[in-house]
Amino acid sequence: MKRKLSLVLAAVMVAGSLAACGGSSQPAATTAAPAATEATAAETEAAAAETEAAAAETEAAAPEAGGFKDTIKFARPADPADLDPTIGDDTYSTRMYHSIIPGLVQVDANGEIVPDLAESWEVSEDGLTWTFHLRPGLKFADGSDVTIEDWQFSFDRAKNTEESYWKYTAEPIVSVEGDNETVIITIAEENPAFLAYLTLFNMGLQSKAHFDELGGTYDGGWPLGAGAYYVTEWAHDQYVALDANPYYYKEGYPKTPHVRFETVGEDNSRTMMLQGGEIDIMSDLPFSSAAVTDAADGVSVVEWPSTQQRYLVLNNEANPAFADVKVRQALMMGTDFQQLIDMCLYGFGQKSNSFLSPKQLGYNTSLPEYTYDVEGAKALLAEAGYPDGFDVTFTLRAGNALFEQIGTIIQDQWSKIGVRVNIESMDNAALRELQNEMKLEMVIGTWTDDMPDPSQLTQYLLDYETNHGFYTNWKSDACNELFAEASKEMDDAKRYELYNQIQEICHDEVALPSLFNANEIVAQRDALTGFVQTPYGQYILEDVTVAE
Amino acid sequence: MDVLNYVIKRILQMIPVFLIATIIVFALVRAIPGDPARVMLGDRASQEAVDLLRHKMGLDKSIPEQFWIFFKDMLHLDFGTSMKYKLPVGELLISRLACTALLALVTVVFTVIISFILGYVAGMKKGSFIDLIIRFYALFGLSAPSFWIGLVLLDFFALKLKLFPVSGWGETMGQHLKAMVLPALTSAIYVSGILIRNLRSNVIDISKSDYVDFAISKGISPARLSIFHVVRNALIPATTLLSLRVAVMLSGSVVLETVFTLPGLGNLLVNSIYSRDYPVVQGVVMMFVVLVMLINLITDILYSLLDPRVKLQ
Repeated sequence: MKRKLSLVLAAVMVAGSLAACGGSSQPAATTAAPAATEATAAETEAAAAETEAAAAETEAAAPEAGGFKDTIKFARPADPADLDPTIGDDTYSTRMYHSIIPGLVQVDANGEIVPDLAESWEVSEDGLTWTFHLRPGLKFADGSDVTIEDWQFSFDRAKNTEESYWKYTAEPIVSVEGDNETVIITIAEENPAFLAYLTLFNMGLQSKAHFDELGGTYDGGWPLGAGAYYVTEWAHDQYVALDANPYYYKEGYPKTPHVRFETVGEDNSRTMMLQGGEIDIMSDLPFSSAAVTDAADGVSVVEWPSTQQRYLVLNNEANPAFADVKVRQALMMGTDFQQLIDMCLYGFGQKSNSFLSPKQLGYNTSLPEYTYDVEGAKALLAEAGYPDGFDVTFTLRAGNALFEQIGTIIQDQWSKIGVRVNIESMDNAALRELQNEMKLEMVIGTWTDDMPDPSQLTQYLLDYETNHGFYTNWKSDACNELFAEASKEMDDAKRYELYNQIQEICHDEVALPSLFNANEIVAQRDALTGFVQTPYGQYILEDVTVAE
Repeated sequence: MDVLNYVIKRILQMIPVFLIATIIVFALVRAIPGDPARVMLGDRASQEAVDLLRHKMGLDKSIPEQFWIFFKDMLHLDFGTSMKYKLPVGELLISRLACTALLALVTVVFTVIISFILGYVAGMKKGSFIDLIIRFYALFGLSAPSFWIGLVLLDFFALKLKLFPVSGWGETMGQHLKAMVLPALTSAIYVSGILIRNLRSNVIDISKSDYVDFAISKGISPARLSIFHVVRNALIPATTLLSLRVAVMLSGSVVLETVFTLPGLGNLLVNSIYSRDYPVVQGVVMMFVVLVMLINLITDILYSLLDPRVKLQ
C-alpha cells in the first residue's frame, strides 16, 4: 500500500514538472504578441505624427485620436497614507489631492493663486465676506450637481475634524451660504492669508451624498470630488487607479482617460521600469542618480522649483549645550554649507538663509549668510564655556540615503571645531515618538509649504504648545508678537516687513537653521508632455499626454 | 487510521505552542517604541489629535484588556481591522498570501527541476568536468545575494529582451504567472544551490551502497535502478530541506518583493511594522506560526510515505 502511494507521489512530481514546463513556455508564447504589435506601432508612428498635427489644429480632439496612450503610469515609492484630504498629511497623499478634490481656488505652476471651481471672487469692504462665483453647471464626477450643502459639508469637515492638523485654516469661517452659482463665506476677522488657506487640500470640495452613502466615513472608501480625475480603485501598496471625470468643468480635459499611481518601493526598480517603458513618470529619484537616468535613452529628468527645505533641529532640552546661542552660532560657523549642498544635491537646490524657503512669499532676501570660519567657531565655543567642544547624538531616519549623507558630512565638518557627533539610526515610528517626547538631541527636519503664504511654517515654528517650536524647545515672545501682528496686517508690504523681522530674529538666534532649499525632480519618458508640479508640491495632470 | 490518530495528536500538541506564540507576538509588537497613531497622523499632529485617534483605535485601553480582545477575536478568526489600510486583517492576509503562495509554488517547481536533474547528474558523474560546473553553479547560487541576481535577471530578461515585466504582478492569472518567472528563478537559484549539494552527496553515497550493488548483480535495468533505488532514496533528506525552505518562502521575501514590486506578505509585514499596525503584524505572524506548524506536519507525513522505515507515532 505504502509503496503504491510513493509511486503515485513520484508520478505527481513528474506531472508537476511537466506542467511547469508547459507553464514556462506559456509566457514565451504570449510575448510574441507584444513584439508583433510593437512592429506595427513603429509603422503607425509616422501616421501618428501626422494625426498629432491635425489634432493640434482641432485642439479639443479626443485623446485617443492622436496616437496617445490611454493611461498615465506614475510610479512613486509609497502609497498615499489617506485619500481623505481632511486627514492626509504625507506628500504621497497631498500631491494627488488637487487632481481629485479641488477647491474654490488653486495654485498654478508659478505658485500664483488662480481660479479653480470658482471663476472669480470679491471681498467686502470690511474683509469679512468673501463671495465666490462658481463655474456654471458644476458637477461631481458621478454626474450629480454640486450644491451649497456640499460646500457647507466640506468646510464643516475641514473645521470640525478633530484629528486634522489643518483645521485652523477653516477655523476663521463663521458661515457658508449661497446657492448653485455662488458661495459666500463669512469669516470672523480680517485674515490676509485666507485666500491662500482656500488653496489647501483640506478645503477641497467633497460630495456630501457620497459620504452619506458610505455611512458617514471614508474607511474602506474615498471622497468624491469635482476634479479632473476620480478614484476608481485602490489596491493597497500596489496602485491607485484614477479615471477622467466626464463632467469636468474644463472642456476637453483631462487629456488622458486614466491615471495609475503605481507604488514601487525600490529606487532601482522604478528607474528600470521607466527605462523599460512600463511607467511614464516617476518621483523620488535620488539626486545622486539623476545624471545617469537623464543620460538614458528616451528618459529625461525634469526639475521643479519647490519650497522643500531640510533643517538641523537642535533640541536644547535634550542637549543643554544648544541652549546657548553662542554655541548655535559657532555650529553655523563650523558648517560648510556650500560643500554640503554640492555633495548632497548635485546642483538640484540652493542655499537658504532663512527658515522660510526662498520660493515662499515674504522670504527675507537681505539676511546674511553664515560664514564658514573654523577658528572663529572654536573661539566662540570657548567663549561659551566649551573649549574642548561637546558631544551630540545625531539621530537619523534609517534607510534614507540623503539623511545618512548629511549626517556623515556634518559629523566630519564639526569634528574640526571639536564637536563630536555620534550618529544613530532609527526607524521612523520610533524616531517620531522619541522626538515628540523631546528626547532626541539633533535630527534633520523636513518641510514643504503647502500653500503660498509664509504663515504656515511660521505658525508651526512659533507654536510652542503643540510641537515645542519644531521640537527645538526654542521660543521667542518677540517673534510671537510680530507674528500676531502679521496675521492681521492686510497690507502686503507691511506684512512681509513683519515677517522679515521674524526671520531676522530667528536667523540671529539660529532657531531653526536650514541646510538647503532643494528642488523637486521627476524622471519622465520623453513621450510624456504637459506635467506640472507646483512649488507647493501639487501635481497638475489634466494637460498630460503620453505619445504612443 | 494510524495516520489519522497521529494527525490528531500532533494538532493537539500545536495548541500550547500557538498560545505561547500569541502572547509573545502580542507583547513584542508593543515592546518596540513608536505609536501607531502618531505615525499615521504625521509630524505635524497635535497631542490631542493623537490621543483622539488612540482612543478610536482602542489603544488607550489597558494592555491585558487589549490582549483579551485580540485573543477572543482571534478565536473567532477575526484578526481585527488594519489601522493603516482600514481593512479587515483577514482580507488583507488572503490577498497577499495569494501572491506569496504562487511565488513559493513556482519557486518549488523551478527548484525541483533544476536541482533534481543537476544534483543527480553531478552525483552520477562524480569528478567529471560536468560535476565541476554543477558544483560551481551550486556554490554561486548559494553565495550571490538574491537582490543582485534579481536585478541582473531584470536587466537582461525584462529590459533588454522585454520577455517579462520589470515589476508588478498584473491582473489575470496569466499575467501573474508571467510576473512570477523572474522572482521565482531568482529564488530557485539560491534554493537549488542548497539542494544540489545535498542530492549530489546522497546520490554518491547510495551508488556505493550494498543494495545498489545487489540490484546491479540481479541484472536490473539502469533506468529502473536509478528511479527506484537511487533517486527515491536520495529524495528523502532533500524533501526535508525543501519543505523547510517552503516554510521560509511562505513567510514572504522582503528582498524579492521589493526588487520585483510584488504585493506579498513580506512587504506587508515590513510596512506594518514601520507603521506599527499592530493588528496586521499580529495577524501575519500568527499565520506564519500556523503555516510552519502545518508544513512540519505535512513533511513528517510525506517522510513516512517516502521511507517506509519511518513510522508515525
